[in-house]
Amino acid sequence: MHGETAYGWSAAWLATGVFVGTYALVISDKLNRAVLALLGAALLILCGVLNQEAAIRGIDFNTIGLLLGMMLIVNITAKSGVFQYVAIWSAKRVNAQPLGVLFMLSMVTALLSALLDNVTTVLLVVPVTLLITEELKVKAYPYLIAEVLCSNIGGTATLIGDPPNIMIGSLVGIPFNDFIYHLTPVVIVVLLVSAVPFYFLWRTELVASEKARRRVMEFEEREAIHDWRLLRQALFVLALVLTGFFTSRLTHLEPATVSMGGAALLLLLDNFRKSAEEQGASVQKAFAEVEWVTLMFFAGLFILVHGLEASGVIRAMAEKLLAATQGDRTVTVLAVLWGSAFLSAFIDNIPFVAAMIPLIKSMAPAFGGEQGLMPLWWALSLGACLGGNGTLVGASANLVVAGLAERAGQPIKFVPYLKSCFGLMILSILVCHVYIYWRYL
Amino acid sequence: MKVAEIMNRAPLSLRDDETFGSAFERLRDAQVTTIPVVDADGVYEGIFDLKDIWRLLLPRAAHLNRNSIEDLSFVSSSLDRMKDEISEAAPLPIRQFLTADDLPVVYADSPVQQAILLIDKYGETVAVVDRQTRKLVGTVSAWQILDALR
Repeated sequence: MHGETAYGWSAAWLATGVFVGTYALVISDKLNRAVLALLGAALLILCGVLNQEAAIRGIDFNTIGLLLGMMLIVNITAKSGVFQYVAIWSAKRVNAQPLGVLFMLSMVTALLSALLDNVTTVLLVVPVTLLITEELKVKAYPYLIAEVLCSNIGGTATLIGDPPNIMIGSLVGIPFNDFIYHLTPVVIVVLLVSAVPFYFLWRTELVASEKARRRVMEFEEREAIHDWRLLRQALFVLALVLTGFFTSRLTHLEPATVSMGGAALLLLLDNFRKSAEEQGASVQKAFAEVEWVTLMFFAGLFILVHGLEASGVIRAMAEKLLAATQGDRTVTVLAVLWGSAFLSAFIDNIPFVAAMIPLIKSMAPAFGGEQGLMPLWWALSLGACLGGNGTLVGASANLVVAGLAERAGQPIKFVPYLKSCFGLMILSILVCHVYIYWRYL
Repeated sequence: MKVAEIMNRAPLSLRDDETFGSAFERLRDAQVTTIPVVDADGVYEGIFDLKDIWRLLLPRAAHLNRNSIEDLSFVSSSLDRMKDEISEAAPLPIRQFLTADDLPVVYADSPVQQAILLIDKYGETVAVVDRQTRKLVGTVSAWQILDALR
């Protein structure tokens, strides 16, 4: 590898320059982020900061494989109609009372995004939400906002729920169950605490007529399932995959193995008795629906961060940060929590977390080894995931919902969103502050 | 063959300030699926067609461009509700219902193949406009093309 002895300062400066430049362009939102990250990665190799071998070694294929496998599984499962079924079923359980529906759809969103990617979750839940609110003749706005918040909150609860957690889990080697043990309790508290102001804000406005409610109650959720065979196969594979995650400590299987294995099995089951031509078309479609932009962004980003690592920039920054907090673990943990939250509210949390992971890792000697770092990982995850709720551009799920809302003629604007949600984000970080302090410090 | 050879030079058209209600009735009474819309000077503005009516009758979640709900077999549906949607829209000017994909046109000197391509993509009738003034000078419908092939 190109060490700092061969290139000295210039490698460090080049890596920093390319990283900061790419980052700035990603924030400006003028060019596609995957294109930028790959371009930055290519530039690093061309400048000689990394060679191709080192660049590829920098890509965490565990993260990419986990995301790819889950995207395939979810896209195939969605074809069965099960997610519409769940949304309608939950709305009918509360007699289609608007506030009840708000609560149920929020909980469905939180639960689904704990198990699936946030963007996928909102893409599945928002269209049904638009349908139900239109039938109830109530504003879709509070429902969509609640779903944005809950997708980010719910996603924080597990290793597979949100990209920052996937990266932390994979790059640090924290098992699936540890995320549940350490993060799920505080996520439940955050959900409940956030529900209170939301209830008081909207309780008077969300009223539906008896007639409108009856229309929703007449929905036949069983009719939403258009492929029972596929549904059974998908639920079977999902159950296997979750079991794989839960037992990863015993089986020593990495998350990517579990999710890619599950995706391959579901593709096999889905295509089992189809003709060669049908198989070709169906497999092609399943792969075409994968969000390659996200995956390529990750790949490029890992290379960029690896450039910083290999050229010694990360270690130097960690030393600076430790000097600033004077090596005090409590101060460092809380600084990571609040710093991640505020930054993630305005910028993409994925590159931020990608850069923070090696930075925190290199603090291990100062905090008594890897075990001493655990509170820092939880602070990073909570701050980066929940911080995304602060603004409309804070997380990809927010932007996806805003896009859908726009197309449905119910636009969500930056400033009104900021007014109603930034405070809720601060509230959630306060809850985490107390939790981390009480449990770990 | 050029469009001019087969086009209808006195086509049915709507003014953009006519109401949705009257456009709805013209479409139903004439038993056509598309009618071109023009402004006060006769300049082509777009097409009013069945899709504009279906869009009113369907939930918004079913036409989001992407990620729409693709199966509505589970919803409850009543004729009264659909009639309500139509009467709510009835007094609005049709210019509010024209969408961006209404715009493709042909010219009198365009080859008929271009008209066939547009009909294949967008619907039964394609507007023929003057190159300079964009005024509506005729329409070519699927039926005129079939007749020409006799």
